[in-house]
Amino acid sequence: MKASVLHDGEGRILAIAKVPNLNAAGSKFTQAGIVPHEGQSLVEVDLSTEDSQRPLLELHETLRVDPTTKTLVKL
Amino acid sequence: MATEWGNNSIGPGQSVGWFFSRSNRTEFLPVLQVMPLSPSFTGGEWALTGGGYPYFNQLGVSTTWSELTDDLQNLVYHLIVQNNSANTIEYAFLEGDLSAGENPVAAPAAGLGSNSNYFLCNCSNILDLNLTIEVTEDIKGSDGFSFQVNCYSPSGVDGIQQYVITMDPQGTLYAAVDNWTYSAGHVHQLINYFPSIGSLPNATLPAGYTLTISLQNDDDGNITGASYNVNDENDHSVASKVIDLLKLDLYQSSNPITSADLSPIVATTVDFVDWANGNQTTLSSGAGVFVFNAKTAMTVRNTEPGCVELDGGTLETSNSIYGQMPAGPSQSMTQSFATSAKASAEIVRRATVMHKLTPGDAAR
Repeated sequence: MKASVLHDGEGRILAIAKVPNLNAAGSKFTQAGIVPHEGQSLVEVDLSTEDSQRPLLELHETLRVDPTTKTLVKL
Repeated sequence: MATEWGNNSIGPGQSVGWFFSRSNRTEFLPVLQVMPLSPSFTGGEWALTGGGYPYFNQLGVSTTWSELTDDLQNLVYHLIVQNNSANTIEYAFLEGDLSAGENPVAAPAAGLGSNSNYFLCNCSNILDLNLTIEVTEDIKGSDGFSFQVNCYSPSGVDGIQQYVITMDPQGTLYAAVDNWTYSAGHVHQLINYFPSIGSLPNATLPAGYTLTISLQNDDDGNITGASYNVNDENDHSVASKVIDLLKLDLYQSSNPITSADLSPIVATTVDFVDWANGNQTTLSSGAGVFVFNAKTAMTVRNTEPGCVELDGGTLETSNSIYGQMPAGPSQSMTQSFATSAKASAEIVRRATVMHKLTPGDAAR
């Protein structure tokens, strides 16, 4: 499962977004997503099966983004 | 009923910008809110920002900003999700659709631009058709430009009736009547009247100008004439012309037009294209709104209705683009127009019979 992860320059996660297929979810929008502010970066990551099943808050609190590899790593 | 979707998180004290895009449809009022899926574990207090804006120390959203994309096809809404609590919060979006309008009619097969626009029709007689063109961005074309009210008759004398305000590459304005009969698979010129009505210092039509083309009918619904007006940004008249068809001569003839040569219209399409001669103009700028009014209600269609005498279209083209419209029926409709960033006319409609606007008779 894909997720958009917003992080600061040090890789600290500020927000995570899991946007579903909007049409299938009943939304009238065709696209939605995060717009990074200055000093923020956005990466698209493929969550592992294990991470996909973990509560989102747990991911947010226990992972960070490696700014070099743009992947999620444990704190 | 609101729709809940998405699974998101936001850290304490963070603000996250979001965009939401959907096709450009009229009268849609988006309502977006956040639905907390986890507690904030924070007491509910409120305060004021340095700028005096009140906020609670909970999850919230800003006001909504909106943006129409350059190609007029999509509306993009922007808002900020803010977590003023002391803990990370999980949330979803709640989306409501307070649309009071209708779904837009799908674009014609060739697209919405150049010589391909919707048809407004009622398959009865359209009476007192009036087109107002409100210019919101300077219009400039490499080979001038024209606004063509291309009208279709039922089986009768006039197959195609064109009423046009056109500006040549030197900035001269013309009011044109270019009407055609149809027989044996071909159109034949009936009227070609092309008087100059004024000029502008350069070949640019400034933002704020308003152009109108108003058609007149007799008691049988036949089009008997048209009035053309060009007003500047202060609503002062720059050019005007009233054309009575019964005071004109038949094409390349000294015989006058008679009531037998008149015909009603049952459909119309408006094109923002080259000034004349079947050519293409490249618009470097230009945008505005078409406002249609008629005494009789009209319906928006993306194909030529079967009640017209022939499948006809204008040869002139441009890189103009048009906005979508609801189906109606209505006596009053609006449609946006703009300039595509493309340097050439990529939208071109090929009708069975194509006609060319040719500068012609200016007498009378």
